[in-house]
Amino acid sequence: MKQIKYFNGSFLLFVAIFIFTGCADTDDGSYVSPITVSEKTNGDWHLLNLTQIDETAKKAGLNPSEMSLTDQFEFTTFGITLNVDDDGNPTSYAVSGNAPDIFNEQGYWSLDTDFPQTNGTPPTILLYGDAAKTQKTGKLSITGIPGATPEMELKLTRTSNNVPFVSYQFKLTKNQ
Amino acid sequence: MKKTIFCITGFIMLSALTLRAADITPDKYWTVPAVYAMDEQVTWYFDFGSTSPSVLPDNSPLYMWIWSPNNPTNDIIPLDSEGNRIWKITLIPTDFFGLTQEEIYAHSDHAFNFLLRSANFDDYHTGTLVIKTNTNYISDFAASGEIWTYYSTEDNNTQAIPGKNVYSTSNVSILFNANIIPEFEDAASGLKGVHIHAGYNNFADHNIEYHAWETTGCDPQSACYTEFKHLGNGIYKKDLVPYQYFQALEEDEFTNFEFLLVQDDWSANTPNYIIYAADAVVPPPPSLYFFPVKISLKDILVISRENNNRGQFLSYTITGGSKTVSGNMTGSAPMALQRAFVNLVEEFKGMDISSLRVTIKDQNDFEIYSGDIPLVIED
Repeated sequence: MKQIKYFNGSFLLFVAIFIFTGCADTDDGSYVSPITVSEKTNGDWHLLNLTQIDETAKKAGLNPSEMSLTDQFEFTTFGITLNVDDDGNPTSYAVSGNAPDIFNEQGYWSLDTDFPQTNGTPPTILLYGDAAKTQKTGKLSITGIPGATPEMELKLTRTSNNVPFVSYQFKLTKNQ
Repeated sequence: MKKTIFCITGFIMLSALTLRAADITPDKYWTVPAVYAMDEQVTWYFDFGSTSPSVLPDNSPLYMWIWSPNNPTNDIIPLDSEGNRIWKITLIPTDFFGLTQEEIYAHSDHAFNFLLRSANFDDYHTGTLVIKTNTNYISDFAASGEIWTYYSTEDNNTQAIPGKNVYSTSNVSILFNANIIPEFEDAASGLKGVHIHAGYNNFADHNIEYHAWETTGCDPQSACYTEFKHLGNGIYKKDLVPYQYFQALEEDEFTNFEFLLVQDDWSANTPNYIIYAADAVVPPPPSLYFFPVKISLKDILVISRENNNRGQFLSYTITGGSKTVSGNMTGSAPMALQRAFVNLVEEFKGMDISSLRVTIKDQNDFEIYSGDIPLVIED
């Protein structure tokens, strides 16, 4: 009889331990892949402001080296949609609005890096004229990556003999 | 002993003679007009306001003894008393000296050297006075390629001062070269005259307009009053003293006078020019710039001009290949800044051109700029 009591006591203790152990089970978490640049940049964006930068003047320390174009030529209507496929990979893009075509108003895009680079080099959106992405038509440096605030800065730089001479700095906000 | 007495007496007499000869110096002396051709009439003024009347009595006779470039009469030449302790002499240098303009300028002294004195010299006389002839302002101006310039004499300067701020009482000579502006072709050849259309303090007061139709007399409303003098070869000159010319008072506020120059029948005119008063704040000169410094056909060209003349409104014309675009430059404060944004992307889309011809004019068709902007080929 005494043995049975010990057994029951042990059993209850085991059950209690089991139950409480279950409550304190360590959550190792499930695997979540890191947020890619593509995830941050895709979608509909609308212009907040646009600045034209004279790279030659800037390098030489001449003024003015920057000029706001925001209120010119309906640039305030400028929008860009960066589309991705189901896997989040960049596909096509389209520019909307009536602003001058500083770059091709439609085509395809890709990124030169999936994740922000640790050396500070801004990721770059590469623009293409074809779906196969063989005909490069331009590139936009992502100088401001969207974070908590849904704003992005893109910079288009034109070069001649590999020397930059003019840039366009777009500040965009995401259409929610 | 007799010899000693004779010497002492002689010394005393000589000393008395020497003591009687008083040196006098004019406070200032100047010419009217400020700038003159040697075959033009000029008046030299001498102000002895600070010289004691006990030495040089009011309106007393004063004579000029001149030796450079020559003495035309080998004698003293009388000056006229203007009153108020100012004396003057009016002459035409070429007639007065019997020399050509070239001979006067070529004289080795490069100056009119003279002194002023009493008839007997001993009562009063000046030291050597100099009016320089080392600069031929008119031929120098013609050679400069400038459209206009001005000179004034003031502040004890016997020389005309180019481009110096003036006072309302200054003698000002404005020079204009009609050869520089194509529309003034008739004035350049002497077929038509040139007039000044002007006003005090940015045309705020005392305007003296050019009335082409007022052909009689020479009062301030007449065409005669505003007419420039043709010095030959398309070079024109106007001499004036601001407060007198604009019928103002000496004490009236004078910050500038603004003007434009007009061909007889208004068939041509310059943009507005301004001569500032000595103590006025002079705005910086106009500046034109293109943005960016290097540009391709895919970019936005920005043309800016700062510090524009009052009332001047600019427009641009850009020609690339067979296409020309034009528009106005605008600004909320047009004197401070006028600007145009030109959409090269759309305007010259698909064209194979290597440069753009840009011309900027004001509303009176006066050309501010004309030049080519090379186009950069993007990598």
